[in-house]
Amino acid sequence: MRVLLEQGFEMNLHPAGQVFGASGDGLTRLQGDADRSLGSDDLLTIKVVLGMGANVAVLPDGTVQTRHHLDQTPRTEQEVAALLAQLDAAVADGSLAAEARSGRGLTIADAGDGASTLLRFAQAPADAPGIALPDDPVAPAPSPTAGEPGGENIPDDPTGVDLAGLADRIDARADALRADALEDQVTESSRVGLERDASAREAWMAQQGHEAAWQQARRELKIVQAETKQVADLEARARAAEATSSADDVEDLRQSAAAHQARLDVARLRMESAEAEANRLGQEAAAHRDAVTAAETRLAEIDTRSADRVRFADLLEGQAGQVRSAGESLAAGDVDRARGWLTDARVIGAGEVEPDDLLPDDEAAPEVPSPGPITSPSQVDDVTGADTPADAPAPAPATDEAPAEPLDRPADQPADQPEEPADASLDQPAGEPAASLSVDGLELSLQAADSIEADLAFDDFSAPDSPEPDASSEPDVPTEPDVPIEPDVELAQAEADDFSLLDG
Amino acid sequence: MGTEGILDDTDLRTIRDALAAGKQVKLLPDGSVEASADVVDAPMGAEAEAYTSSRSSAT
Repeated sequence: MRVLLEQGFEMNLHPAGQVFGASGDGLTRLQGDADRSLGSDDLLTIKVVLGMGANVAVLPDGTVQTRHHLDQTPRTEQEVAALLAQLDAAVADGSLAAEARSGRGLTIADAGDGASTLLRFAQAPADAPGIALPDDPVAPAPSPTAGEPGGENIPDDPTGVDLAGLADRIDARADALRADALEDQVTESSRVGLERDASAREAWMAQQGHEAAWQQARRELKIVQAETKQVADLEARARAAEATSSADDVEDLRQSAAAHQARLDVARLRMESAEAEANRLGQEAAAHRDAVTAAETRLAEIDTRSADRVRFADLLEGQAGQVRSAGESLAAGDVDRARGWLTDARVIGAGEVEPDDLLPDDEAAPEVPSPGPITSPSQVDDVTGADTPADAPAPAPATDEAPAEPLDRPADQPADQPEEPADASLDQPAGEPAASLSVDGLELSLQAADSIEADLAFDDFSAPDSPEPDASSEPDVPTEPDVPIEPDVELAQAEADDFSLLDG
Repeated sequence: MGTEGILDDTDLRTIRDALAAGKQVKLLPDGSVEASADVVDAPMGAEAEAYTSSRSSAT
């Protein structure tokens, strides 16, 4: 509290145990009580000031710190509600309390892009009464006279200057910059890394689902093909039997045809459903893979930025050493020598510009699916654990690369180049597919015909020259098959049994 | 008054007595301590006193 008073704060102590503080300009306010958790008064304050467009920090001891801007823009109710929901989540999942135990508070502050607000944890400085918020003088900011690489704030004349104090301030700034760089690296790398890993898992799961649905669709396509042939055959035989056989025989054939038609309808429904699911999951997997790529790009950027800031801190420390040497030379009565040290100090890092803080670019970064506000130390540790998908022994996560093609799907078949039919003797007129699948842009069409019973292999099912197939249309079955065909449902069933594990 | 004497023992006693009497206390940057003339709340409870004391001495 003494620090606050020294910084020009006016403090009000309420007999109920509440402490209120206001900065001299009235823009920064503090509100605390004996309860470290957020009470209803705290939440109301947060809600109100967020609505006004101010920034907020919840300090490790539960104190609510607010910072108004003279040009702040009120937030909408939806924006405030979204921020409060994130705050609630941080309370509910225990991350707020966990971070507080580590001396870290939660800031809800402008992202720096003039449009958005971020929740993030930040270390509460031990020697300041609050966490630095945008445009907030509460936490000691680097002194503008502390000196910068480039040396514009290093005096030419060492006489009458507290060089030791200047060196200390430059060192302090270097320490703060280094600490901020590392903290940002940990915080941001953890957040983005968790997002990346979550996306990787989602991509892997979606890819597996896509493959499974793909197999199911192909299995049902084969059944559709077989049943279509059976129906056509039995109906043809029934028509032929009308002239030569008894009415009972004809009826038996028609009943058998109806039974196959029922199986055909079921298989077609399942095929179309699996086809749609395969396409949906394929798109979902691709989106998650894009998110993984974006997150990995962002992680590399964070590392680069952090390294830049650490390097800048190194320059500051070198500069502080020169200034300190100047002070020692001055104390020894060697003014010229001291002047020389200061000249050297100004040369260090000439032209260097301090790297920006990470926050503004965070918002500009590609948006990646977020697993939620995860910032607790335990979760951060998980990031480097050995149980991430990339480290999992099996199955390998399909998120960083396309997974190995499972089962019998042609792994080398380009999606946009369906294979030619293996059997060119199919006499189904081109452009009249009886059924088709469209997965990953690959069109698989069933040519309902009488000559396909010999080979129900997957490779026979393409119709690259067919016009736009209509999966919902009924098979166009030849009314007069050239060759009588015996029912062969067992073959289709045998094919289906290969995928029994996928049956639901 | 300078800030050197901010929250000295006398100030702390004044603060504690005022809060215990249910008065609100205002601390100003110049080091002055002002207690409200009127009682604004019930006298400070033990928990509130402990907290306020800890905040007062936490510098």
